[in-house]
Amino acid sequence: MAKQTDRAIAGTVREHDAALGGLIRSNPLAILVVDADDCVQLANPAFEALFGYREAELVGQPIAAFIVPKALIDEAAGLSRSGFEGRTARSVTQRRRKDGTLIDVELTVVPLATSGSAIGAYGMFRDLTEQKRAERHLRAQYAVIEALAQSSTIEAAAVGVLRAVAESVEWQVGAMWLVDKTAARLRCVDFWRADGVDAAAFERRTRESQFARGVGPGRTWEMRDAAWIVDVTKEPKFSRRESAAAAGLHAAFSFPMLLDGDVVGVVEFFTSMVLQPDPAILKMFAALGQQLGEFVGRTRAQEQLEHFFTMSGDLLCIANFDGYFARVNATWNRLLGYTTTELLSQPYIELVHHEDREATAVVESTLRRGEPLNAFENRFRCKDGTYRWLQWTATPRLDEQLIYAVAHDTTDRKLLEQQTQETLKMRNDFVSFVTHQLRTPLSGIKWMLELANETTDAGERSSYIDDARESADRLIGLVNDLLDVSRLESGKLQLSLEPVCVRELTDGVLSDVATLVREKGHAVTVESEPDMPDAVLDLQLMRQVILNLTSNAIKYTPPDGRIEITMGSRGRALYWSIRDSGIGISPDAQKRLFEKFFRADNAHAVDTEGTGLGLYLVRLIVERLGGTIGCESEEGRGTLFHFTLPMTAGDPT
Amino acid sequence: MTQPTKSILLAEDDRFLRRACETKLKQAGFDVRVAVDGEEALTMAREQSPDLLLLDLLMPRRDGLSVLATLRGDPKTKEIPVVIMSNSSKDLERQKAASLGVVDYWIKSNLSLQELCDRVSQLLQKPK
Repeated sequence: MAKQTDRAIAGTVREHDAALGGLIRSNPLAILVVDADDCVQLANPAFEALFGYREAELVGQPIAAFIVPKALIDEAAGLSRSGFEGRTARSVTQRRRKDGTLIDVELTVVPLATSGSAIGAYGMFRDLTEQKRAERHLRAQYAVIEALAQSSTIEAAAVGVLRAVAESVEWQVGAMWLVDKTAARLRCVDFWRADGVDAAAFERRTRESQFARGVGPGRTWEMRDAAWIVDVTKEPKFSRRESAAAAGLHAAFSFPMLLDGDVVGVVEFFTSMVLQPDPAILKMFAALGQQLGEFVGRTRAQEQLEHFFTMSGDLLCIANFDGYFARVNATWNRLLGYTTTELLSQPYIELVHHEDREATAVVESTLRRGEPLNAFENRFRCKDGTYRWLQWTATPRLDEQLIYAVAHDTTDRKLLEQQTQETLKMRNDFVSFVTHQLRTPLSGIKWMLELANETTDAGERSSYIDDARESADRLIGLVNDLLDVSRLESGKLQLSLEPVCVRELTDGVLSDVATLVREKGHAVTVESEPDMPDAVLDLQLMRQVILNLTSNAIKYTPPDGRIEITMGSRGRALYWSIRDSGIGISPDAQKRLFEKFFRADNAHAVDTEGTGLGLYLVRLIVERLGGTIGCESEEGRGTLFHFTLPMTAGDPT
Repeated sequence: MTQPTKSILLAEDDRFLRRACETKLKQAGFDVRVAVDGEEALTMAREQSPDLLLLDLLMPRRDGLSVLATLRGDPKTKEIPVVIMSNSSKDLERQKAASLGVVDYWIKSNLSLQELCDRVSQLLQKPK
């Protein structure tokens, strides 16, 4: 193929252009014509406008030297070759303007042919700057949304947001600031810089800085609007000027993060170029500022709820319909002692007291039908094996298959209720028991007096009156016991201490009950150490202890029994015991023997007049004198009661 | 018109109350036998089939309600009219006694001997 002259090509092109009604010259597409050596023959006005070259500067020159970036020389040559070989080729690529900036273009190379042979090529450049920018902005939007979606706080999202925005506008550094309302300052939340940008000092400076309203990024806070600085190194008010200059940063822009018209934060970006304000950038980021502000608002609302979730003294949880907890608050760990993992890794029904499981299952199925739950109570097992009463309020979410539930620990209240009931029952038992015990001698007195009144026989009358007196004595004894118990219980009883020979005291008591012993035919022995010292005790109280224990032994031992009393001193303590061959006390009854009003079943069978106060009174007195009392017994074989007292009441034994 | 002497079994462990009741009812002309505890009451009730059993509740060896239940479970004794005489006013005991079929439930301390005697006479005059 013979090479045509440049002039011939230009002429051919002009002919074509004329034939097409000035299609090339007046085309809004940038069009370039090259000859077979890839030298410029023609550049239309749209080309001049796009690339900044005059046609005259280019004609006759190899095009690669002007508009092809170094990295793309091979690509450009390949495209031209297609044209020369008669093929149309297309590429989305970049070319360089006269001012050195790169522009995105769609380049179409079309063969220039005369008489069927190619003599050069057309290059048609469509400016993709706007399209590319729109794409980048869209990508930035997606990246921002993604960063926000993956984070629960703006702090966590900050770096992702900064990178997405900076990369979309090809700026090198970004920083995010949040308003601290209490300090009335902007604080740096996070900082991002592109790889290869030496901005460590600037980053340090930025992270350390705080700005008041109206100062630095605080100006954006004050103005509630985006701001642009063409070159921060020339801006005297820019406090981070030196470190910015050291990092090679020049232009800056910032925009506010807005929530309902309030500035909650500021985002700023820096680039290594000196740039005039770009309205497109400013417009785009106004919308982003709104988006970030709303995110802050949402996360704060969530944080507030989160605070409630954590702070609550109640047990809060979200459970799946499949029977597992999905979330529990810290109160669960604190109250029940499990780790969160332990709570989430087993069906929660396994923590429910087995007696409450059926009711819990019923309640669960009600919830799964969509009905809310109120005031349901069950017991949950703690890690230490104890149980706590929980009172539940719950709401199901059918669409999520979740149950939102709050449980209040009512263990203490339950316990109190139980205690109150027990106290009440004890009081009722006490009243009916005392009523019965008082009525019996009262009836005796009343009836004996009635008989005495009716009879004319003096002997009969005096015998009725004797019985009435004896009934009255029993009544008085009972009332006295009740009074003693009451005084000892309240600690109001005054001790009257004096030296007491316990052996003499015991012998005295035995002579008082000698008639009873004789009637039942018991054999009684008393053993004491020969030179036992006197103890310092309350004589009357001591007498009552010995009398009660001795009377019991006599009463609860079948006729012709054996009773052995032993006493002695053990160090600074006095030891006294009484063993009988009586009916004995069952192990269960032994546990409750010294309780108020307790009467063993077999004791009751022997005697119904007992008040259940005797041994209780004995225990109260022994304890009041600083001692201890115990009992060993086998049913049907006999019982041993023993007590130990300090030689001087109240001293340690 | 003379009626045969009516027999009364008095089951009472308190010796003062027992003596007073026995004396009064005998003065009124009843044939009175006494039992000092639940076991004795049961044995005597079976042997004598009294016209009326005055039964205390809280007694040694066997309590009144147990005596009552045992009597009611035996065809030979289940028809014996029983009045509970107790100083206990527990509702539960009243209910148990009522469910086992008693003529009445008296609180001893609320009655004079004369009232007691009149009530017994009234009960025993009724045709069976």
